[in-house]
Amino acid sequence: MGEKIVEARHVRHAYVPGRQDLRGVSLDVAPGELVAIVGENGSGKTTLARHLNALIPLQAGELAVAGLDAADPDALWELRRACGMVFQNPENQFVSSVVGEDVAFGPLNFGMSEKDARAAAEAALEAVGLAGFGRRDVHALSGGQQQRVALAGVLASGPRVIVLDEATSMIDPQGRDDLVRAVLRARAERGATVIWITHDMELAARADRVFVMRAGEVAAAGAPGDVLVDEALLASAGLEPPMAARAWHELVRLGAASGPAPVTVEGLVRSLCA
Amino acid sequence: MRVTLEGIGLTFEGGAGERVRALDDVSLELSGGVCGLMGQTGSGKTTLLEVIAGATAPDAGRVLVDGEDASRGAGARALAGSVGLVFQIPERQFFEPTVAEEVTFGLLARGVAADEARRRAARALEVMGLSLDALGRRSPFALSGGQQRRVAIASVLATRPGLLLLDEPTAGLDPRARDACLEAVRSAAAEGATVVMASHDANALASVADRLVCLEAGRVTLDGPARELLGDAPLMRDHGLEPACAARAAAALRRAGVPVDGSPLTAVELAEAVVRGRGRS
Repeated sequence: MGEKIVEARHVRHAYVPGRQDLRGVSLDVAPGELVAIVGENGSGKTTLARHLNALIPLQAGELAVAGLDAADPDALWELRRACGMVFQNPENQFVSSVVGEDVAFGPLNFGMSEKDARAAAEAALEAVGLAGFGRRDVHALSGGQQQRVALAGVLASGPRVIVLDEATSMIDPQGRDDLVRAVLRARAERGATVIWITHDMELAARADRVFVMRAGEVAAAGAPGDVLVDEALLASAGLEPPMAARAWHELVRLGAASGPAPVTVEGLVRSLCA
Repeated sequence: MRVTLEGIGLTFEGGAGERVRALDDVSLELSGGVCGLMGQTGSGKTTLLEVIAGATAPDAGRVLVDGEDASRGAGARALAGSVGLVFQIPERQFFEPTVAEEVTFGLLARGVAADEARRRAARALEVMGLSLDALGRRSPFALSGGQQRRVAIASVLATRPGLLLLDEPTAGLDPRARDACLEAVRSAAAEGATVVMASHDANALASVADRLVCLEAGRVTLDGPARELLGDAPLMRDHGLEPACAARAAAALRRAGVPVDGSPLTAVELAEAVVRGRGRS
């Protein structure tokens, strides 16, 4: 096994005594990997994500992010810097109404000088395609632009891991595509590891690996081409395959196709042209 | 319930003295069925729902409910008594300390007896895959995002509104909850409600909408049968909208030389269209 940037072993969590919201989650993520975590509402995705940057204190099990032990109170500050999160509702994550001030808040809070924080904020806004937006009012931006401001706020602190928790579910398709592009660019240019929590199976299909959460556990993990075509597994987790795989399965049932199911529209086109 | 919008216009004060024309000469006749409302962020969808609901007054034009002016008198009373609006951000519509009180509030306010209100609340939550017994005593603010959205939808469905307005109801829902939501929308329409559902989700609209209205910068730019419009990937893209995934795949297959018959909107329809296309070629 190579280096791991996220290592979780038997992580358990109960919001109230007697409940089991996480039932012993174990997973590894390699540096620079793009992973998707899918699962139905209440399966534990967000609870797991909030452990990754110590928003939820570790109750049981072991968790290390960027080599920092989530059980060590002295490591939490650095751990939060190493792992940034973008949430579902863009409006709930701003601390300033001015774009530049909001993006610089993280680096300032982590002890950067004002000059360096401003430079980091400008570079982060440029990285998400919002150069020149520093003096704009965040509330006057579209939802998609707001999510990119939130991403810039995360990038400005130089995280090694970016967690996006349903970050595209409240923005329009154009905003989603712009955010996906910005995240992929941050990954390519900064070598960031991306953990994408989503119900969007078309988006999950573009990940290196997919983790399927079911009732507080990891029910399956693997390449999208293996995991996202398994109708029975996904149904047991309250999910369904991406459209391309469902169309392929129907073609197989109709006797009009054979072989492994594609998970993307591009893959479907390739398979049907082959 | 028949809702008529006549030349609706609304201008907001934006930042720095800027004036934003949120709605511009919108005229629509809504009477039964499910009308999908699409448009990019900022196109006026939410504002239009608020105007239809009587929550925001337009500065031009008027809204009629069954032929009566909805801004006053009998028309306003008819609208208030029969409209249900599911907000885009569910926590913005919650104000009661428990889920049980939240979902029964609208019923009790309409004079429904407590026992009957509780029974209808339980049924509405059950339709959305939730249990009044399990969640009734919890704060709606302490629920997960998906649960909040389902409670918000249930609290509106429980009142059996004659005019059901939904703003991005499927956002953040998993497939099971999404299917439950769409089934509830279909049921409401089948029972005679007039439904308007604003959504970016072309796949969801493809499965429930009879009619599709698209807004761009506050103006209606498309208005027609939902299947026809949602299945036309190039047309949708020309209007800055995302077509249903199956329609997008059909267009990509045709570009690659694979014949596809008709305008499929679902995975099953796409597979059948490919088989028919092969049969023809």
